[in-house]
Amino acid sequence: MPSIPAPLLELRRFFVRFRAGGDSIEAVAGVTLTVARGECIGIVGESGAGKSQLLLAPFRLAASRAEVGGEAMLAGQDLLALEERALDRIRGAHVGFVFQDPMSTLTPHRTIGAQLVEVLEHHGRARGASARASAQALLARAGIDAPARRIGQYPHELSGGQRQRVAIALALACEPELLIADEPTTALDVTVQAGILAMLDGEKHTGRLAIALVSHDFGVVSRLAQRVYVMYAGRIVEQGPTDVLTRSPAHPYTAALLACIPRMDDPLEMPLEAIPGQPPDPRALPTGCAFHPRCPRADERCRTEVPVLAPGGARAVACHHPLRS
Amino acid sequence: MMRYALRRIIGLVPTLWLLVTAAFFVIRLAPGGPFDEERTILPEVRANLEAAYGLDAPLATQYARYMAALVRGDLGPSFRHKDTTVNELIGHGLPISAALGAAALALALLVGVPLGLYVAVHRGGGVDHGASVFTASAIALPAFVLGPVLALLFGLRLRWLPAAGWDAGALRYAVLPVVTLATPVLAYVMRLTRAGLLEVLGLDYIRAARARGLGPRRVILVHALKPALLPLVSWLGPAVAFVLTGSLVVETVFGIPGAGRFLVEGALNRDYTLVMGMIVVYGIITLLCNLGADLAYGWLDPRIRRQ
Repeated sequence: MPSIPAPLLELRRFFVRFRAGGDSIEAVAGVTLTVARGECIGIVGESGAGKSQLLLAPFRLAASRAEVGGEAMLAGQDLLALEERALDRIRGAHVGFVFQDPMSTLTPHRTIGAQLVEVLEHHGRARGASARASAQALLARAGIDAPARRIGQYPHELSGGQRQRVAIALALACEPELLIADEPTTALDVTVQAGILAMLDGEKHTGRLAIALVSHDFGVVSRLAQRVYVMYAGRIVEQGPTDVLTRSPAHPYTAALLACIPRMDDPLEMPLEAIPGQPPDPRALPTGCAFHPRCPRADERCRTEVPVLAPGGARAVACHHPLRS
Repeated sequence: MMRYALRRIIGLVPTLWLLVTAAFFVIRLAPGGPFDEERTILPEVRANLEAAYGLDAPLATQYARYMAALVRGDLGPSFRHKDTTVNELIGHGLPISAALGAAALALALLVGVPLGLYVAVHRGGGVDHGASVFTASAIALPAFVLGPVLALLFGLRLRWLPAAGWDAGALRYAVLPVVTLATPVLAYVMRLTRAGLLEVLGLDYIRAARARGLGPRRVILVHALKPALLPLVSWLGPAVAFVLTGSLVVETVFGIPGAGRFLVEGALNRDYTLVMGMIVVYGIITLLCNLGADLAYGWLDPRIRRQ
């Protein structure tokens, strides 16, 4: 019998809590998630849903006061049990990270080349002249024009899109197995955004790289991800193959997120959709299903009983009244 | 960079001219003059004295003469120290003050910056709390208290070090005044370094550097240190000038023949040329230190380099 390969990243009942004043805020409330080798998954939800915390906290990149628990395994290694020093051998080498705002994620007083060479040398991938040559090759691969010149420039001499390409080059410099991209295109113009997504798509097709893409934009996620997790108020409310979810969402929240994407064939005078109400305050979550105050299908049961994530076919959904296709 | 620095130095000349001019007239607005004594002197003697020092000429002429001499580097004769020029007075006192100040500054930076970094990294720990008590007391404690206490303890009671004197800057004599002068500076350096690093450690690019697995030492020393020093550098500009030109209190407490007393003494005696000389020297040092801080800024943050 062929053994099922262990997932690259596996979170089980993973939670992230913050203490703020007297109360404990649960940013991530017991999420189970897997990323297989070479797979691209997407995590979608509004800001404050806990999607960034979900993927950054296992690597201790969330706010320092966060309390983290549950299980987080990377290639069979227990991330939560690792010392900071051991984690530093994983971050950058086996897992790369790209963040939202390329204007602030590069060190301003170091040249692009110095930062690329630094990460290569630090993780022992190359030294001296060969590191500089690799740095230049990485910039070229990231689609930066005139890499030989760029290598001596400072971040502020580059445009936002170029900086994000540099940030991705930095994250991929050591050929990691997993790239965690936290809203990598949110701060960019739409045309630049398309370029960055195409670049990530190209990296994905080299085969070895798994990507976990976090975005509030279903459109962005659906371009890259094979599977999608929809997150609301710290929980997964629906998960499944991207095409299944986009074609026939079962959770009213997934459906609402999809309706927010403007389509080219919509008549021009059609108003843009928006989900009514606000994402809930994590300090005072609604009882029952956290989405019920904004949900058109909510009833008494939704107000009292938290729905569990139940598998149904290829997908799983946490809703008392899922939509049927 | 050199050309930029040179252009900035030339740009200091108008500022300096403005400073000297303002000082020249403001001193003469103050009531009394250099030859007013409690014992009245004969009008003839007074007139002779004033003529000898050129004080009988119209103010505009005096100003023109002073500026002409100043351009040649001549600060004029002292009105109070007989047969001594201001150049001689300052030339004798300033190197002593500057040596004392430079030593205090070096001590403050060499100890204050690493300590500030350490307490920032271990924020909220015992050392951090201890350090904040120390910095608060060091800033609050005036030199005229700290100096005599140190002299009393190490000089008179323990007899480890001389309680006063300078002896051409011999180490034994320098320790207590240097420590006295350095203590409040060190406290400021520590606070500014700590606050600077804490602010930078919260920035996105520090998280991004950690996310590349660079490790705490590299993240702090290579990625956070330079921007963390920006507040310290902008404070140091004017502070360095203050420390180098001599502290009246420290020099008086330890009987050091520095330049610190000239400004106060000169102002009380209406020794116009001595006060002016000190203002010119102080002004030049202040302007140069601020220029140095600006240049250091450009080195610490390349975004400032291109103006």
